[in-house]
Amino acid sequence: MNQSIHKYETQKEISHNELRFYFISNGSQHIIKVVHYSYAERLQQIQIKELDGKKVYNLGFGDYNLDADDMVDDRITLNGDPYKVFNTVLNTIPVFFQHYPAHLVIVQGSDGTPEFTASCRRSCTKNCNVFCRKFNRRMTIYRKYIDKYYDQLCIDYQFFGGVRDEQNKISISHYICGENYDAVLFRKIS
Amino acid sequence: MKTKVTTSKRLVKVSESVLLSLVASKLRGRELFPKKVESARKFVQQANAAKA
Repeated sequence: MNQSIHKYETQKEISHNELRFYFISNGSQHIIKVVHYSYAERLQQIQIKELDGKKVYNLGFGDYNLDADDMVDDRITLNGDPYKVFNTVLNTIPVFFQHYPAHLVIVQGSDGTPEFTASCRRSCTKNCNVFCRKFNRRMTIYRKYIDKYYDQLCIDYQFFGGVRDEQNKISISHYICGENYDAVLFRKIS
Repeated sequence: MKTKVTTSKRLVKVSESVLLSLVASKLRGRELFPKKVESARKFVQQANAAKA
């Protein structure tokens, strides 16, 4: 993924079934950030046969508040360094696949759940009608990044998109640029 | 066992790497994003169930 020098130094910690990266975002404030790859579930009998039996790891990312001893992953920090932070997170992906080359990563936005919409409406000033304008914004950012660099990314990675239908059924298929997805999965091409 | 109570408000300066090591040790063994992991787990389980 992005090998830009505009990234923060990370501290890595690996243990059974999880990989963590810690770094400090030095923008207008000093914020401790954590990237956490954690085992979620194994794919079985899905439409794409080559993924059968593959383990899926969730990519979690958030701020750690040392005083409150609390992790926050559903707020926008506005610390003045979003690209540097984003690059830092992207640069953890090759490291993940060095340790777990045969597995997949799933990414979902923390603002893509019905609970987020309900929570947003309590404090938001945008006065949205039916649709919350902040809903699933993070997934849109991730998808736009993949769409923009798709040809380049596909040299090393294979992407899949997950969609939830009205009956709450989920289908996973090969990623198509420009499509909307509820989750994106990817793996390293061996 | 008695512990020493410190009321001083003096701050101790540590380097970034030391701070991150302290945070890593504090968070070791803790599930950091339980809702996200549970959501990912359900997502994959429902994808599995949809085909089965």
